Amino acid sequence: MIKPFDTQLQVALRALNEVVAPALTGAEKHVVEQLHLTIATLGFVKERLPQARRYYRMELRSFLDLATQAVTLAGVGLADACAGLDDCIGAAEALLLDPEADLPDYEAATGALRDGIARLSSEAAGTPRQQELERLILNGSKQIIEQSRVWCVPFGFEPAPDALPAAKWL
Amino acid sequence: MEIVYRWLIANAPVLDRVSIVHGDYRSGNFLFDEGAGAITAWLDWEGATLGDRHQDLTYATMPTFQHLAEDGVTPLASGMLPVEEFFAAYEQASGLSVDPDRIRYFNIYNRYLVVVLLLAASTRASMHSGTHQDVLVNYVAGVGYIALSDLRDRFAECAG
Repeated sequence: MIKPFDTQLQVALRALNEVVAPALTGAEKHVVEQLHLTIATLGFVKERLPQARRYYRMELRSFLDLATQAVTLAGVGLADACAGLDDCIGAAEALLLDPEADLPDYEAATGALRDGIARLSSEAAGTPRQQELERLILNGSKQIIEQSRVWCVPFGFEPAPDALPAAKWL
Repeated sequence: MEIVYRWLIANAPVLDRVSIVHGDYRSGNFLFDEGAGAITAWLDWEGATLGDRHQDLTYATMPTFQHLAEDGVTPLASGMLPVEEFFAAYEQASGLSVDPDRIRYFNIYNRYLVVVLLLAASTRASMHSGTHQDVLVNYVAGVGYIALSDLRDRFAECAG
């Protein structure tokens, strides 16, 4: 029987917490710190791994929405830059329909959309569309960044995690 | 980030006086002699440059390095004193003015810098096994989206 990832992470974490950490009492602070950071990193992976596919699909959809709005707004005045982003939009839409798609595929498609939006924004600089497009990107990026913050909550850096919006991928 | 970068280039103020800029000017980067009540050394100079004093002044007041005062409301620059008091103390000690427009500019500049350090430099360094503390650098990158959110919000206010 192949063990679930969750079980494997659970046993590794228990060994580090209950066997290795007590054995390092009095060890150099640098060593103990790296152990605790390793435990915390594995804890993050254990919590988020089962949700990763849903998160990456949600993130891709968010960038897809923003890219589609950006192309609609930029219109014919920036045809070349829009054409490049249109290709990324088409690829992302196809990927979301592909049952064989894997996490790196979602990450790559999201990265391509993000780069395409940035390129379009650069092309729009100095044109009549610049201000409106920048406003669209700033407004649209708010909820994307907030969801990234929600995803990172298990790292423990959020001063008031309860004040963040609900996780959209769950 | 592309939009903020263009804004920073377009709005960079003309330097009124060349200063030694530390680049990571905050609590945690100095040694303090409690007996003498004095700072005895500044550490971590790898980001140092010749530039505008307002860069360090705003860096020390970044939310990332703030604590709240005992009243639970007042932010303390680098956990030490309220921002306005900090600027006033700087003016008194240095004899140099603190320009609100430059403070506004460098508030965006430093937020941009911190996001690059966290979400690009730290992530890349740990991804490529670039330091002896990869696990630390990787973990700290977890603050990156808080910094990016802060940059987005401050820039949206600033750019109107």
